[in-house]
Amino acid sequence: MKRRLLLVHIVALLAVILSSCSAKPERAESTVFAMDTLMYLEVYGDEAQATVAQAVERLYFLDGLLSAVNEDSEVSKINKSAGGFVDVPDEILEQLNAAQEVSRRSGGAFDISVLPLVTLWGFGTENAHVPSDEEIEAARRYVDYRNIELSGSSVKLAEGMSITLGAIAKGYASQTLAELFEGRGISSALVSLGGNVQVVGSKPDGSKWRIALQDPVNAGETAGVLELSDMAAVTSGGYERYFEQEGKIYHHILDPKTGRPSESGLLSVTIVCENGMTADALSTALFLLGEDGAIEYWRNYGGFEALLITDDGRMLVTEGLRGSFTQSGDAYTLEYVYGNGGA
Amino acid sequence: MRRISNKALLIIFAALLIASAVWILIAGSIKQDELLAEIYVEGRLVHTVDLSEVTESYTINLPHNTILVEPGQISMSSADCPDQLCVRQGVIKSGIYPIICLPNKVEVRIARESGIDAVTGGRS
Repeated sequence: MKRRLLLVHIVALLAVILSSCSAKPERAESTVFAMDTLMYLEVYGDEAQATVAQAVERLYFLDGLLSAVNEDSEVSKINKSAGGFVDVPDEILEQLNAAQEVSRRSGGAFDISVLPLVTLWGFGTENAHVPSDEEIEAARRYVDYRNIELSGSSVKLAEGMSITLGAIAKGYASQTLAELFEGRGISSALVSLGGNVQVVGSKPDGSKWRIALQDPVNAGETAGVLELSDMAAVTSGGYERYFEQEGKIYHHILDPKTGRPSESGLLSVTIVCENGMTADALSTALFLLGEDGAIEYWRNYGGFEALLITDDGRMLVTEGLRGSFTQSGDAYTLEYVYGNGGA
Repeated sequence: MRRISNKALLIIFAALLIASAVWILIAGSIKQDELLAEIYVEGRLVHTVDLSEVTESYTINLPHNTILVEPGQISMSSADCPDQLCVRQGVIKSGIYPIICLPNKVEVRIARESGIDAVTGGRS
């Protein structure tokens, strides 16, 4: 008996040694600048190199299609045609439909028609400044998602309106890449599009991907780690893109209701869900809704998990993230949030 | 067929165990002290420096950015971009948070810190 056990052990050990030496999957990575951010791709498996090349091509294609800055983009065409219907490609239609749903559900907290306000404030340009109340009111008149009309594969904005897909396009891109990878039989990949992270499968060694959550107050610190597979994690926060005027900081997430940077009491919102596009739109929507509105949205609609960091030092984690989230340090007081049926 | 004795089997088992332990140790210790910083411009790797071997500070001058290399750390000392986010980030010593100058498409990163695969943050 003992002898058989020993033999089994030898065989098992040999198997482990052999597999760790030989079965390393092909690995490919790429870093690209597109959609006004830094993008990082990492792919494992057969034809990893070719897959990454295809993915990068896809990213540049989407960048050209979706940019609100590029005059020739499809989004610019929609904006220039405000007042009349214009045919849009599927890539945009999908985002418009998803955006409109989040807008309705959030009561207009999320609104892709904020472009007149974004342009007015000039975020990310040398022209960034605090506009006058009159200017804000004038721009706000053109901000209302209900005046975006979708019919079949065409869209019409009311006269004077303009849209930006900035709060959803990167999530759409990561979702597109995840589907491209799955279609090519890749079972392990990671995409990071400027803070939008999406993973396909687990790591090649079978363990889950470890995604650090950036501390919104000390941007060089980590507030916690998410362990995920086949999932997207997207964070919205005001702490990365902002400008200072007369000692006051103005961050880039504009509240369509006030026409000013959101003051919802949240420092960052992280959404974890299977679809990267949904995660992207929801992170902005819940950031704007604030703590109560965000939790209510989660309880009403579900389908995702959320992690909110408040400006009074709390970290609110929805119950579905129990087991996949580990806090780092003690900068925030961790509280779990339960659904309607929960404790 | 000649039978292999239990003792021989035990020796084979022990030898395999020791060999694999040694292998893990060697594989784990290679480049352990290295602190490799990589500088990318428009997604292309343009410069690599092992920060653990830097004894005197020096700068790397790119067309729009100046990078300060110091023993064990690296930072963006100046940039001609409007937002200056990359300069304000200060020094980095580990791999989690790269310094990124979006306007000039420059990235400075340190080879991945153990255990973290990506970061989600409010950059988007």
